[in-house]
Parts: sequence; C-alpha cells; structure tokens
Amino acid sequence: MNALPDKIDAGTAVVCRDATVTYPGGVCALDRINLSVRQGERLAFVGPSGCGKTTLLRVIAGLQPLTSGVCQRSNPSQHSSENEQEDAVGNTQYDEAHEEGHPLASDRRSVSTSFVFQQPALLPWTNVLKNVALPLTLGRRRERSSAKELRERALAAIEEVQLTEAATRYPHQLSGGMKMRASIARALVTRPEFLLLDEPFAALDDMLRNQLGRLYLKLWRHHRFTSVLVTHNIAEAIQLSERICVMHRGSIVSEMVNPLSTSKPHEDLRRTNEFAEFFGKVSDALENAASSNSQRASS
Amino acid sequence: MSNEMQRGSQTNAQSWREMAWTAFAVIAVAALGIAVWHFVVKLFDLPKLLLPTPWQVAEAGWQHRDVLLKSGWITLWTATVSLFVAVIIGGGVSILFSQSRLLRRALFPYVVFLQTVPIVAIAPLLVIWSGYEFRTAVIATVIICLFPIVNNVTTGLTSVRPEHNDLLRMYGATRWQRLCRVQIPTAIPFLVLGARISSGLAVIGAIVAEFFVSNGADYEGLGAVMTGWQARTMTDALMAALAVSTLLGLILFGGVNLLSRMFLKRYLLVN
Repeated sequence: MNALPDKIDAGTAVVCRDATVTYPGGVCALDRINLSVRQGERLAFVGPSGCGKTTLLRVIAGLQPLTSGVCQRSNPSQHSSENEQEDAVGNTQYDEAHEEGHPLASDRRSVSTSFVFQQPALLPWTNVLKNVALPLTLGRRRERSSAKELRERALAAIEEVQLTEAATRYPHQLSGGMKMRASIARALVTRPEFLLLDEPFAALDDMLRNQLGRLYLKLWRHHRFTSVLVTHNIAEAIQLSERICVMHRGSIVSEMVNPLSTSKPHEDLRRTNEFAEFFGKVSDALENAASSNSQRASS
Repeated sequence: MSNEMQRGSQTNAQSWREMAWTAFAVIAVAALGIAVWHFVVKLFDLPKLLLPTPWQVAEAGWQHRDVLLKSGWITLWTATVSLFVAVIIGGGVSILFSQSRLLRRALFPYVVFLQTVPIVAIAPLLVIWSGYEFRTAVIATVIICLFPIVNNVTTGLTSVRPEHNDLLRMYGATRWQRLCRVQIPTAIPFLVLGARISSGLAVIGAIVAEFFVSNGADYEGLGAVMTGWQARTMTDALMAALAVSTLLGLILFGGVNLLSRMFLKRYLLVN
C-alpha cells in the first residue's frame, strides 16, 4: 500500500487515516481505513455488498461522520492562498458539527465536489434543466450569476452528456439511461475537481453501462477531475479506473494499480488477454479475502 | 400517428371508460338504495313524521328550495373559508414541526387533542368567547379540519427521500433552501390528501357549529335551518337538508381535487 503523506499537499486530493465508522448497535462499517488519493486520479473501490464501499465514499464526501480517525479532502481551487490553507481542507472527523441540522454541517462541504448517486436522485417535480442547475443555486456560497448564465452553464453540462433534446422534459419522461446522464450533468455543472460515484450504472443494462462508461472516460479526459468510483462490478472497475482498492468487511484488503487504464480504447479492452489476467487478479483478491475471513470465523 | 400518441389516446379512452363505469356503479347503488328505502316505507306503512318516502323528501326539498339554496350557500362558504384557513394554519404549523424535532414532540400531542375533543363540547365555549358570529363557526370548523392537514403535511415534510437529503447536504443547501426546494414539494401530495379528508370534515364542522351559533343570532346556515325544522318535526325537510349537506361535501371534495389537478399536477403525478 502507498505510504500516506503526513499532511495533505497540492498533489493529494484525499487522505484518510485510521478512518473508522461504527454504527449504533456495534456494526463496524469501516475499520481503520488508511487511504490516499492523488489529484486527477481515477480510483475504484470493489467488493461485495455490505463491505463498506459506499460508507467510505460517503465519508470522503463529508456525508458520513467518522467514529474515529480523520479523512481530509483538499480543495485545489483554494490552494493558491497560503492564508486560506486551513479553509482549503475539508475535514471529516468525529465531530458534532456533522450531525444533521447543525449550522456548521453544510459549510464543511466544498462546492468543487460532486456526487453521482446510485439512484439518479432527480427532483421529479422539475425538468432536467432545472435539476442540472440545482447545485449552482444551493448553499451560502451559491453562484451569484444571473439566471441566464446559470441556464447556459446547465445547458452546457446537458450538452456534454448528449441530452440537449430532453432538457425541458421531466424525469418521469426519461429512460433510465437518460436519467443517469442527467444526474452526471448535474454533477458536472459545478465544474467539480472531485467526482464521487456510487455504483452509478448498477441499475442499467450492459449496453447502456458501456455507453455511459465511455462517456465518463471522455468527460474525465476533458475535465481531469479526481474520481472515486464504487462498484461491485470488477470489469467496470478495470475499464474506468487507474487504481483498484479491494474491500472486505470494512477494510481495504488489497490495492492494485490498473495496468490497462490507458492502454486501449474502452470498447476493445474486454477482448484482451491482459484484461482477463487482471480481472483474475482482482477476483482472486476478493476470494482470498472472503476465504481468509471464513477461516478466521471457523477457527 | 406515432406509437406514443396512439398509446396516449388508448390510455385516455380507457380512463374515460373506467370513469363511465364508476359513475354508472355509483348511480346504480344510489338508485338501489332509494328503491329499498321506498319499499321499506310502503311495506311497513311508516308515517311521514318518522320516515318519509324519497319522493316526499324531494317534494320538501323543492318546496324549501330557496331556504336550502341560501343556507346551503352560507354553509358552503363557512366550510370553504374554514378549510382555507385550516390549510394555511396547518401548513404553517407543519413547517414549524418539520424544522424542530423538539417542537414537534412538545406540541404534536396538543394537535391530537384538537382531534379527540368533541366539537359539541368546545362549541358552547367558543360562542361565549367569540359570540354568535360567522367567525365562531369558522373557528369551530378550523379546529375540526386542522388535524388531518397537520398530520399529513408534517409527514410529507419529514419524508424527503434519503438521496435528495444527501444531494442537498452535498451542495451545502441552507435550511431555507432545503425547505423550499425539496421539503415543500415533497409534502404537496400529502397536503392534498389532508385537504381531501378535511373537505368532508369541514361541512360536518360547519353544520355542527351552526347548531350553536344560530341560537339568538341572525345566522341562517344549514345547521341553523335544520335546528328550526327539527323543532317543528319537519322530517322530510330535514332529510332534504341532509341531502344538500352531502352535496356540499361532494362539491368541496371535488373543488379540492380540481384545484390540485389544475395547479399542483406536476407534484402529484410523480409521487
């Protein structure tokens, strides 16, 4: 595993040290996670259901308070000023300020971070355009742009995900893939430096999944955001990420640099022997974690 | 014609057919009920004073049509104003409840109290405090209408989907933004449901309040008229007034449905 930097610096997007989350009732969702994510990196967490992938993503997003440990997220747009260094770090730690409804809770999250949820989470009573523009109008530090500018930015994000013709449609008038594209457009509209994706394509069929995967890579090449993807689909993790963390029972049991991340176009990758070989490695890591765990339980 | 349009027109035709069948079923049940009623009166040779025939009720209704129309209008106005006031007060109280769990826990039992205490017990007190006025009838009716609205709207305001909550937290939405952008739109179908329930209660509340308010006042709502007819044992006219009060309930219920479909359709379609 990579050595963790002592302090979050310009090249690091996230550092988690001994990040632990224990739910009421004693269920340990995350067990002393140590993790560092480089800026501009595409990282994926893979693992079985209930292994803590989503909890870790929520910790990084600042949506889930830690029981102990710390998770720091940098905000590159604010790194320019030395005096602002303290403000430039979004900390997630065991802190009452993260309780829902606390006045400080909303200020801790940076507008340069976006989240793509497993469900598209579009507001059903408003159209795609307004859904996409929503992040620009929220928060105390919301964009002070005119309605026309906000609309133009939202339309540009919608165009990026090739959904222009559906901009005035309501979510119930969209297909599953279109909803997810709208959700990605909403995440991109703030021009995020950090994109967090929680099994965004899990509910889609294979063809749509591949299509949106290609779109995601295209957007990454264009924007170069730091990205953390949660998935239980190993093939998807290989196709979309540069580094893969295998998780099991709240721990990262293995970290692997993806040798195929930039070697071939997305659609050709699955047909190669290297893909099969690396798929086997990730799969073995998952199986080893599961079997060592069951051995420990039986002994 | 595109497939989508064809499907749309098929769905329309289907819904019209369903509505026609529903209307037919409702009318058939009413006709059957009236027939049974008529048959029972004739079979047991019941006196008009005890139970008049449907035809006698219709005759009394026609005979007193001016009084029924005027008093029915006054009662409908009382019920409508009360329902509107209940929606405003109930919505406001629910918003307060949604913002503070402590406030909700502390005050909700008193809202339940409004529901459990019988209006006939409160109405005499209201008359003492507020007088034999239209205002008193409205206050009594609002008390009856309030609970379904507060209960439903509070449920709606606190039923925001977890993913929407996360979305708002992610982008640092303020409490006000959260309320306006997501909580209130989520609660609108619940508000409509509460208003539908309260529309029936509003007519009942208005008539019961009028029983008390009418004493010694120049107030001629349906409740006041019914009190007078009851004193003169005009059973047929009382039953005609009962039919009018049922009609008022249906009008108010239909009005709530119509307004919600006209102005809140996009909130109702999707939830």
